[in-house]
Amino acid sequence: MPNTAHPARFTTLTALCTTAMLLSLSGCDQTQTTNPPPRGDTGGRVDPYRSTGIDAGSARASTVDLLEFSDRVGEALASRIATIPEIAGAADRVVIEMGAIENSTQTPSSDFAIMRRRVFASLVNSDLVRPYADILEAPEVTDRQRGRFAIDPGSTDRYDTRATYVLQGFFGELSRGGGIQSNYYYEMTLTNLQSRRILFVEQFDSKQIR
Amino acid sequence: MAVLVCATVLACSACTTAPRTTRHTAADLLEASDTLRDSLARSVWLAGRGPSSPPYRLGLGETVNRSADRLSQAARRVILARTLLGEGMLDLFDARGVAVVLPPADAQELARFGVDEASHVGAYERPSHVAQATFSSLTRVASLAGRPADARRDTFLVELTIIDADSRAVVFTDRFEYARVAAGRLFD
Repeated sequence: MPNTAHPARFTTLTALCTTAMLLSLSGCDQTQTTNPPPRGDTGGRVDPYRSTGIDAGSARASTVDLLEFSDRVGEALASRIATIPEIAGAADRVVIEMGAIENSTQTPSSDFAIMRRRVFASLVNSDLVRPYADILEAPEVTDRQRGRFAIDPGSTDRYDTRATYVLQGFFGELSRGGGIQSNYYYEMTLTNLQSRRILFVEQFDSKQIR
Repeated sequence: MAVLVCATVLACSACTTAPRTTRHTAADLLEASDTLRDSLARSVWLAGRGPSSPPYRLGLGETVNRSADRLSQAARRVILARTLLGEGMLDLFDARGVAVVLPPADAQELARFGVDEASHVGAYERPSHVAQATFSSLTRVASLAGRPADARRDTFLVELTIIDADSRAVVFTDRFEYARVAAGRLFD
């Protein structure tokens, strides 16, 4: 009697194992078809603009807010630059440089430097900005690159401060409840280097509850 | 029944293994260089130029890693080289009057082949423009379900910029962005 039961149990075991293996393989299959072998694994990638629980729970400002704010500043400045009389009416194209960042938050300043850089890049690539302004790399960065080619550092072109504008950022945080809630205030301005007159400002408020 | 439970556990473990790291993968870097190369090929900077345009000499500049991830010098160099010297780019540069030049430190390697580096890297090789690549990231960590911090997200930005070596004007810039999430602690 036991001898007749064995094959049936064996068959069931084999079927279950096969099912498990097929399930395992089907679970992995999607990853393999979207990532051809020579290019490696892209598992764990998410859309940079997708909010995750990690952003909400982090003690730092949401990366999605930072990305969206910098996109907004770039678009706003590009669309308004032709309406700023001092820039639109200038005899020659003005120059825009990266200015300072004032960070009063618990988020590292390097994060805001990235945001400023993103705004900068959107100005470089804007057809609306190009007729009115040249976007300049920082002198120290250019000098470092020139040094690699044995070109005298410090001899890059200098510009009239009356036609020079700097893109500056201020980032503030009001924290309450031992860090459970933070209200963030982001601001970017375009200021004339000579007159210190602010010609453009974009602000952004956000609240983060952890 | 035990077999069924084991099978289910096996199947689930294969399906739900969360990524344990947010580090760059080869796929990320290759995709970044492909995307930036396509963008440069279609750029305003190259558009409208021809072989008779005033010559540009594009220097292979420095690559800077400001991200939270480790990136070897070789990996950084690969991005710049794949972007500027990858598929069809030298032909395109030729057609647009752009010559790509090595920095003197790299050109010293040419001495191994009997090239007089002093004459080779002369004033005529001075770049009019320099290409630089920058890696940066935004890192966020949080705890899931009240445990110690065990979840991490890194948003990476790979940026290629070409600057005029004299005026400092940025003539081209574009970036490739992506985010990675990972869960679990090292000792899990």
